[in-house]
Amino acid sequence: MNKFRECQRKKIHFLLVEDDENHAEIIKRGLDKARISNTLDWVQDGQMAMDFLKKRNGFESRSEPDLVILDLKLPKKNGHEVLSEIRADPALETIPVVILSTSGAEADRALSYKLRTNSYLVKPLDYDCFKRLIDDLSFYWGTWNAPPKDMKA
Amino acid sequence: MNTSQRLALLVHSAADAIIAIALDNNVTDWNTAAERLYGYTQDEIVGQPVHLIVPPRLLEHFYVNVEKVKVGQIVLNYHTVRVKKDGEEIEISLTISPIRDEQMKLIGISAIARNLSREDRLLRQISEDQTLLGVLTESAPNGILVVDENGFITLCNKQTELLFGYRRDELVGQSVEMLIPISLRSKHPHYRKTYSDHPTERQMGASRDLTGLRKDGTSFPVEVGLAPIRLQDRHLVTASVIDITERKVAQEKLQQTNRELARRNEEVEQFIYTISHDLKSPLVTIQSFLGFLKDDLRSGDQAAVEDSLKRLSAANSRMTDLIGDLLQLSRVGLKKLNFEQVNTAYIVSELKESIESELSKEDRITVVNPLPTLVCDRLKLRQGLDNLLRNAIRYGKSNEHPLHIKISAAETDTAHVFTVADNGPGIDPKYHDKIFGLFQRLDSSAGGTGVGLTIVKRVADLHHGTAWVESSPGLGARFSISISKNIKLTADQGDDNE
Repeated sequence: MNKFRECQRKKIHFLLVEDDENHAEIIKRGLDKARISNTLDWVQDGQMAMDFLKKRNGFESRSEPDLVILDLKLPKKNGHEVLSEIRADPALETIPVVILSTSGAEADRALSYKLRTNSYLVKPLDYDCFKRLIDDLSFYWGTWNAPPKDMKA
Repeated sequence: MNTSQRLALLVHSAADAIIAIALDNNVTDWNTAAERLYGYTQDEIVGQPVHLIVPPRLLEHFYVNVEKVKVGQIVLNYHTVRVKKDGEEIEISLTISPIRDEQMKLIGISAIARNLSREDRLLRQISEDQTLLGVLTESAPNGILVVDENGFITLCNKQTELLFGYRRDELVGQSVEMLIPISLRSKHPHYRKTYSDHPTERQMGASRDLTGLRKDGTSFPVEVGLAPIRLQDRHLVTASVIDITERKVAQEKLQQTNRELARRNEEVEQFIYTISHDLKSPLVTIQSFLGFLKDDLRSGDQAAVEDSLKRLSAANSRMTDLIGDLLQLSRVGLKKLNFEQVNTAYIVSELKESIESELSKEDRITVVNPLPTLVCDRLKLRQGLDNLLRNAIRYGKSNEHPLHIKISAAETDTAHVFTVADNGPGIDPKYHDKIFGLFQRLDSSAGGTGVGLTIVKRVADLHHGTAWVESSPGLGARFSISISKNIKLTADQGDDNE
């Protein structure tokens, strides 16, 4: 871990959209132990995700997320609906979105990419793999990824 | 020359073969024409039995005729076959009459024969062919029409009358366009012309749906085969018409079955996909928290150990619930339907009793009577109503007041409708369709599996009905399931066994 000290690190702000409380807990714990400092907001359905992103219905004072981690199977509005609404909104369309789903189905992956997801990840069954995935995810987006300056609305 | 001399000459030089036989059937007279016709000279045949010129196979018939004449009848222009001296058979027209003396006593039989000419034979052939053709045309199962170059019907058969409801005399001489629906009529002369420019034996409008118009104004789907008839100076077309109503119905039924199968297939695929996804979810939790548990044990964090164990146990029961509900759902589709007379008041009171034990003291369930007796699958309707009640208990609770569930039934022209109403938080109309989908929950915290309403919907489908919800936020929810009144009792089943 030390050899990455010279890498320029940013504090990264995640929006986690996940209806399963246990999965949210796994991701949170993974992010806490990640090689990068971060903050996390968690919402439990697709409707709340859109409220959060559009700063309405109680989310008026939230800060801009750097990355949305989006589950597909969600109450009220599913992940694909959320993704397509994000991409259709000029104020949100450039925000990076990573799908993190239990589904490995081709149709889900294909549709997600069609709707311009930045990445598609399948939740690993294995504990160590899941930890590694969260660590890599935060490190990649927090360190290597260089978004445009005016990305945030 | 006296009269008898003149008569003898007349017979002798007549163009027709004239012969006479005595009562013993031996030849007595034989004129010149008979010599030419049969090849025997007068000298050769007179005194010989006449059956020399009758083919052996016709002998019996010959004697029948002879007997008829002997009792006074005349056989006129009778077509038959004789055999010449050289064995050649000839077709003749024969008139046989009795010969009587002055006292009117029968003394013999005369036979006047004429060889049938080629024209005679042709005419006879034609008349026979016409009879045959007439029978064939009339007995054909298709409507058969012959139409001339101007589109006028020149001939049609019995089946055409039956198909279109016109009498033959109402059709012949009329334009064939009278049998085509008005909306399609204007194009037909053009099609006819195209056909007569390139007449071949073919199906009419192979790629189009053709329709015939009956006298009473109704129309029916037809298939028409065309064939050109080229006569010396006329170009006719024969059209063979088949009513394909039944075929269309069968086709449609088949297509409907195919669509239904495709839909089912899609449903099964969707089902498997959803199962694989939703069953995997608790497994992810179990695997990860087993990992956390190991870490917690290593670090000796007792509180964390207990938290992990709690989550593991919850994920485990969720898995159990999911599998149980899925089994219930698959049973709805798998078991054979058994439609019988069912008293629903009995089912509902049973359900109420079993569910009331799961309610808190202040909550209540009201049954609004009367509830109908109807034809349905008893177990499946019970399962549907059970899931509606459990749905109301799970999602109808509100923090503001005790839960009140009301069960009622209503009747429309075509269906019985059961409604389970609650006084809970209600559901935004935009989710009303979604919640009937498999594993769809609006509130993940209420603990359901998202299978219950899918079961309700399937029960409705099996009874040719629907399942729906009427609700708005804050105003409670009314879930309904309809059961078609068209359900027929299952055949091999006894009468009302309520």
